[in-house]
Amino acid sequence: MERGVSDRNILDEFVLQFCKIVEKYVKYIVVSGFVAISHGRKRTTEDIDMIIEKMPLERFNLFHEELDKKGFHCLQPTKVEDVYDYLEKGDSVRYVRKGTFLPPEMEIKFVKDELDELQIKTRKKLPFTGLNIWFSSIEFNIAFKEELLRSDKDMEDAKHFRIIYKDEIDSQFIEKIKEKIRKLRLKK
Amino acid sequence: MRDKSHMESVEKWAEFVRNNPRSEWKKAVNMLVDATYKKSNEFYKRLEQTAKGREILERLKRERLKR
Repeated sequence: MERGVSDRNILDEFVLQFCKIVEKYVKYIVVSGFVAISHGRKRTTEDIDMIIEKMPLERFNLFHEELDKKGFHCLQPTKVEDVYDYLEKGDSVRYVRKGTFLPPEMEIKFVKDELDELQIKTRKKLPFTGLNIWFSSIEFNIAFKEELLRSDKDMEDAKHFRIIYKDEIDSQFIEKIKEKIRKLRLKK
Repeated sequence: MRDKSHMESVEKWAEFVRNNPRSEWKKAVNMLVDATYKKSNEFYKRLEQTAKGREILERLKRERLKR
């Protein structure tokens, strides 16, 4: 029997409901801390990070409206044009359950460069997580954590992924991503 | 991923903590922490169910013992 949404923990329930709406409008990926905690890392994350494809204002308007109807509220300005402006300028916007500003919280941003485009293009479903949603690939997660983020927590996350996916990781792809990170994000 | 909206969110949360009793904000924090622990436990239970998963669990245990 398929598991219902209601017997899930609050984080998974929130993410599943949000993703169900997003995927009607654009391709998306869940990235960063939530990927790690979905693989058993015992740590918290302040927000759930999501990258989405760019879309025109008209379509974003419909997306924002549906989120509103389904009980999600944007923490940024109330006018949809202003919310869109945040995204267009490369900033993120945050959605929480209506009537609160407390976590869980979805932080979304538009694709910003070819690295993000590649992340979306190579997105994966990761069965170990038990969630039928799109994630950035494990190779991308490792590369970002080891090359760009590099905090103790990120290095531990990367090691955790390397152990879990030991037999499946494409090391050459990780190196290719790291090279792009150096060029596009670190400007080396 | 740290930008304008992140700082706004940090400020809002700090104000909430300052202006509300500990029991209020602690409840929100606990819900989040409980959910992450529940997620973690569910993940390891899923691993236990397959041969490949059990092999990964062994690898994770070995790594933990090295620390």
